[in-house]
Amino acid sequence: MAGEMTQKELAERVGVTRQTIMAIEAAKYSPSLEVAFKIAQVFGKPLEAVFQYSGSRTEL
Amino acid sequence: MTSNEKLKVLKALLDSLSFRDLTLTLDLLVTGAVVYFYASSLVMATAEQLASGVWISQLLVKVVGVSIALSIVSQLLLELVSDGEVDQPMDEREKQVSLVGNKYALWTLQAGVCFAIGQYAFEQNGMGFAERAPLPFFTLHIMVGAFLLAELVNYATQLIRNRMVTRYG
Repeated sequence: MAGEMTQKELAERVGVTRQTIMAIEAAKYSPSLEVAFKIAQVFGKPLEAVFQYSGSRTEL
Repeated sequence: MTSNEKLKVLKALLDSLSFRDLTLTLDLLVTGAVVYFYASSLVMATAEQLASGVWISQLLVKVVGVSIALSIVSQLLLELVSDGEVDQPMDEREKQVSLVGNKYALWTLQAGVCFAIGQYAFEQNGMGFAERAPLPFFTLHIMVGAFLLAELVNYATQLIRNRMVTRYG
């Protein structure tokens, strides 16, 4: 994910667990707007560059 | 599979366990132990004991006592192995998973209570199978069983939901 950052580091910076980051990566969980913005902020990219809507249903 | 490979698999499994998984696993084990204590007490009881309201009341007090003691031990264990994670609040996904677990637990509890109400109504009216209830105070045992089963369903559901995420991660 964005070069060298680990899931654990990203999780700590966003304020969620590593499992939640794993779930988001695996499209098993759709984050709240707040968490989505925080992730985009960590990467220094706009929201739409990090998240794309595919139309498929994600499961919790 | 060699013992070295088995160790690797075990290490990978432990690495993938979150603190929440560990907490839920311990809660599940504690509830399982309480269920075992309750069920084994009923199985080993004499017919006189099962028919005694005093004995049943004492058993329920013991079940609550065992439950509290095991919960304290499990919380102490978690405090020992955690790195300050015990005090951290659940994140948004964990809260949602917890709600799903609570939903299924509530359904289980409601089904148990409905069954108990039906059993009681039939028993009082001398109808159907209720007259041949396998235990005295059967309605009470149904409700206690439903409560314990709901707890098991709650923890198991949350664990399964969390593990599904980890497996695909």
